[in-house]
Amino acid sequence: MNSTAHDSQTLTLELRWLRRAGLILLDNAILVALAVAVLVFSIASPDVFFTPTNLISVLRFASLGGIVVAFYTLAMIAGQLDLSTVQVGALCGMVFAALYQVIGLPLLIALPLALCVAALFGWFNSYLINSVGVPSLVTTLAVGTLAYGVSFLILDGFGNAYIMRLSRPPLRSLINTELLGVPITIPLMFVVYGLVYVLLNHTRLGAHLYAVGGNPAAARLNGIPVSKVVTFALVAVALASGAATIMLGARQLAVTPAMAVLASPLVAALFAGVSLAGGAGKIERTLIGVLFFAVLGIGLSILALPSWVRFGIEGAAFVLALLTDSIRTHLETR
Amino acid sequence: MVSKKWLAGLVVLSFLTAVTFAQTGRWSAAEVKAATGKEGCQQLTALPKRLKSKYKLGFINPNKGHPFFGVWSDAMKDAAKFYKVQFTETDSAGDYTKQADLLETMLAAKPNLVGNGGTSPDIYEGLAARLQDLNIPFLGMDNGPSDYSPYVFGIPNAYAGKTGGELLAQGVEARQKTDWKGKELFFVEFTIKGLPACADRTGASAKVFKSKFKLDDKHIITVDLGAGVNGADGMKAALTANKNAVFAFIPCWDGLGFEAYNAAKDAGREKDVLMVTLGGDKPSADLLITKPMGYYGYVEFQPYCQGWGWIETALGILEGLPVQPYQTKRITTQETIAARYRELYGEPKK
Repeated sequence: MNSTAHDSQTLTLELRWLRRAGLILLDNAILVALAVAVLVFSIASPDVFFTPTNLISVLRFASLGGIVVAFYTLAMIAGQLDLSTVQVGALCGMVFAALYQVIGLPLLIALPLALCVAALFGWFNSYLINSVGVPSLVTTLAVGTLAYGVSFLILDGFGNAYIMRLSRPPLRSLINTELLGVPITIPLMFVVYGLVYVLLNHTRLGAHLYAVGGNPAAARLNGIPVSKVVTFALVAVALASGAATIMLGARQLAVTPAMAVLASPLVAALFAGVSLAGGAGKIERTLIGVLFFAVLGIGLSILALPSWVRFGIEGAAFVLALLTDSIRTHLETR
Repeated sequence: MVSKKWLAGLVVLSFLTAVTFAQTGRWSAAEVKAATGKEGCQQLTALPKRLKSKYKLGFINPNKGHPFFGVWSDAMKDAAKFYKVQFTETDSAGDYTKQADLLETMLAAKPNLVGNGGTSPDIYEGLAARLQDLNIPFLGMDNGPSDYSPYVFGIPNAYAGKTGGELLAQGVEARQKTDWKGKELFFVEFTIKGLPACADRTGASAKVFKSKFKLDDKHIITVDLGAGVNGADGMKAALTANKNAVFAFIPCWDGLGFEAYNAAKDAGREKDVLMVTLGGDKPSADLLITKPMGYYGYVEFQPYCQGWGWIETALGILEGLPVQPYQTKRITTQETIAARYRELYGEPKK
């Protein structure tokens, strides 16, 4: 009898230990996925992938989209799904091209003015959510469409079709500036993630973002200015998207209304385990998710694999990330 | 005895001369035609059999998953093998913002010339400028002129558009003798005004059509697919506004036309439309062979020959040789599709 009880206790301890190990593994699944991806591409393309030049290319590719996703994570933690990011960013790029390239305003005037337009659209999103009570999913979809339309209005206004050039110096030199051989956008991305990390983990605003996303009613009852927090998150993501689009335009020497620094920030953030329901998510995981997508994107491009393999791998990685996240949540709540 | 030695020497000398000539001569048009098999591509420049250097060429494919661009890729590899040069390719898989970073990775291999596919200046100008900084020639595919590169290669857009316009006019004339007799005719161009290639192509078609049928501006409809409208919506709008009219249309490339065509079919107006497309890759052939009543034919861009021609042009530039522009003269209609299909893809599925 005694022996049976002892056996049962040992089994329970082993199960607990297994659960804890499973949780640690699942919690770091995205990091493991990143390491595996780097390893696989380094083996598959030894002369190209794991070289300093290519690793810089990967980080540079990650950088602009990564900056947007960092702020997108803030918005998602605050419980806001922003579907207007691409269109608002592109509109900001178009306004900047019109002011800087066509009208010829100085950079230090054109840039803040263009960013103001992005901020205005971010604020408009939050106004409709806070004051009218329309859910962010619907609001941002509508505002994004509006921004898309305004972009075409600008194109028409300046007699251009589909595209606006952005080749006036010194924009290209600025965006191609290097710090110790590393393109400026890479350290910029890490600085942004550092700042967002501090904001989320060591400031009152960070705590408010989690509280508002987790339970807005409770947050309001606790005296948290919910509307202001939502406005902050949506304006921040609009500004980041606008700035990133201008930087991309400066590199590509043109902007278009459909220009996107990242095809879907929502996918990247979800991939990194940021909760769709709000109130949960870690910025460091987002960074790893962004790097994983960049490694996958550049790695698969170097291998020039058939499309079905490429999309199969990308889709499977996404599904796997969602599954591991779901299992982790399940284990944590047991 | 002496004469035998001389004879043997003469034979060896002749053999060596022949070998040397074979290595230092130029590839003939017939040899290129034979090497390109069923495609029978036209040679764009007579390249020497022994090139000045062991060149490395790099190409950023816009999306190998697209049938047209996938064929480019195969042809480029074949041509690089034929001319014995190194060829590196990466695939941006439809994410054009990636091309600038893929270029940086490619530069590590120290290519002598780089090209890309992506017809919009926001895709190629950044690459061209970067390569200009490094004194590496840039040869875009179907991009049109660049501010940062003197080289242009690809579909002769205005010529292709004109040929397409003439083909469509031929189809419309035939219909006007039968079921379209006396009906109000509209010409619709499905284009992207911001892409120089598209504006040139469909613009040339519209010009041909306008003069042939004496159409006024009201009867020329331009659907700018770069302005947030899709082909299906553009077609539906034209059909709804003109219930008793008939429509002849040309898209900038095949895919843009199919959605418009399907919209007409869904609206029960298939009999009122006639389409000619520009491109003619396998999906177009697969559709044309079923002989839909409103699909008259296409101008073939022959992606295989285009890919092969890109390699020839790139090598011609590096060798400092004159290069002929790429041509698209082949047209395929419902009458000729069966034979052409068999030639390219084998027996069609029933």
